[in-house]
Amino acid sequence: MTTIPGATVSRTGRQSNIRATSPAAVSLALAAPTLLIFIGLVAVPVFSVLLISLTSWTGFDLATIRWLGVENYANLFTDPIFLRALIHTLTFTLATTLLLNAAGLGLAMLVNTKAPGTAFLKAVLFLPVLLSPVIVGLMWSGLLRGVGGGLNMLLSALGVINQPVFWLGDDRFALLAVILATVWQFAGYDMILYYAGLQNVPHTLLEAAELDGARSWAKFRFVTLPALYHVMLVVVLLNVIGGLRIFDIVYVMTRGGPNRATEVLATYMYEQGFQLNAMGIASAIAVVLIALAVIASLLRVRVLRYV
Amino acid sequence: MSDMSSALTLSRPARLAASIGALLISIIVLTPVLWIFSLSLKTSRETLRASLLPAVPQPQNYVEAFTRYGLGSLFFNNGLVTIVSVAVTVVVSMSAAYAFTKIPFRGSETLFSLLLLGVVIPPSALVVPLLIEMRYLGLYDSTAGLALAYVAFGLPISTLVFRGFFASIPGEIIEAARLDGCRETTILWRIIAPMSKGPIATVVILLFLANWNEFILALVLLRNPARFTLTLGINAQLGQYTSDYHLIAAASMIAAIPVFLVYLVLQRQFERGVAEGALKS
Repeated sequence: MTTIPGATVSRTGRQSNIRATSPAAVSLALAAPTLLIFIGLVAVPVFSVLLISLTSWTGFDLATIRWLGVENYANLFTDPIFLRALIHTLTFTLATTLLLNAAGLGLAMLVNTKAPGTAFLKAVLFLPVLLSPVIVGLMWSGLLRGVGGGLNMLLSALGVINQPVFWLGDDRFALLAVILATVWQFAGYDMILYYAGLQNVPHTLLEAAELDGARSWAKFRFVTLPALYHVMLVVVLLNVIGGLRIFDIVYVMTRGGPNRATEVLATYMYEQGFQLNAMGIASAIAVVLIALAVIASLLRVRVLRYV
Repeated sequence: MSDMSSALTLSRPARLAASIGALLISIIVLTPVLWIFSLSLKTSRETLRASLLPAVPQPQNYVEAFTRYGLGSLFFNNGLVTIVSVAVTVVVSMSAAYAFTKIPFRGSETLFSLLLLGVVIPPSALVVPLLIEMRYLGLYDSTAGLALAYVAFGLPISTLVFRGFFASIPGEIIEAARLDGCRETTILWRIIAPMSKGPIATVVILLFLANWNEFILALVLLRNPARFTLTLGINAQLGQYTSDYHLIAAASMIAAIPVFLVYLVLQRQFERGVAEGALKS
């Protein structure tokens, strides 16, 4: 911040009528479109969703809205489907975050060897990142279909199975399938972020460690990893926030089924709000989602303070 | 996986191992895409059989998918909502970022941190009130309403990226322009904007990817199939329980190919844009 508002004011006086308005007013005017759109379509909805979550409402006629207090929340936490959706969301978030970070970091280090073929790998890994999760969901549904699906074809050719497995129709495999499809899509994203981080690992430190006779693992553990700590925090937070809000790929692949085996908070919220018109319950689920995302980001601020 | 932590001291066998590993992983990652590509060239009957490749490739599947699913109109709608929302977000957030960094006033920091909360809030959690609000504003089921929602959710990250860049521009440049009697809008659009090609590219790429591929807001805020975006139109076909997997595969390929092509041309900018956009937050 090199500009001092006071200095601008005095010059305004000298410059006569070119800028008669105060800098604060000009600044506010420049920021106004952003602030208005943001307040109107993000801040107001956040408050509305909090309010609606305390009511019973079908969403159409405001006259029919009925105040409930915390009843929706009380009901949610005794609703077995909601609890399953919550557990699935947390499982999904934890699993994808761990797998994505392990894959992302490993692949980034592989690409960073700059050996022949790794540039191609980098481009290939990034392709799924560009796709809509809807398209990714479609591709994996095709691959995992019971009849004529690619995975069953491969496994029966290898002699692992002799009956087709309906991966997405089987509640033992469906959540795992959605997790794998998500990891397939976003491994390249984490890889690009870690790869960017690896470019900042000081070469001199690695050379010094080598001169000291450090083994590969020691170099990784004591030089590379500490240098990546900041990047890792950002990547973990992005993965956690992305995991909590998961909707598209589940909606396309399984619609939360079979038997709610892949039901997550966002799909259950969608069902309550837009199929059952229970706006109060849907909003209460949305508030839980927002709370989880805010808690995750606050944790990151806490962690950063100790770095 | 021994010596991967630096490119400095890779022995010859280690380099060879890295190359082979890269090739194998590339094949594994490409398999789903290639499978769908093969599926898209099969006949309807072949989709139910366990065959790796179509007996006779059926490229006309692409023509049929394009006309049957109205992909032309879906592409047009998707392009329109993406271009409008990205352009508006860039212009609006650049002027806000300029205001926050170069004309700070009391409370501007607070306003900015309020805006930053938007990075964390999942859009999917706000669909209920957004739908109701759009109905009241008369923007429900309109391209403009959807674009406006995209702008709202794009503003926090784009303002953040621009703010980071503007903070690095020396105040003297702006002071000198002010002394010459330039208005703030002139300074922003004639002096600062031409210097900002890098961050503009970052923001455009980030928002293009997010808005082109967006699904849940479109699902909730649009109703008339004539206004559907690409993901919405393809999803609607899924609900029909058709057996036309080969056509849906062809449609997926058609939807994916333009983004792939843009990426091939602008690979470096894409990777830098995505990395910068994420690591700034």
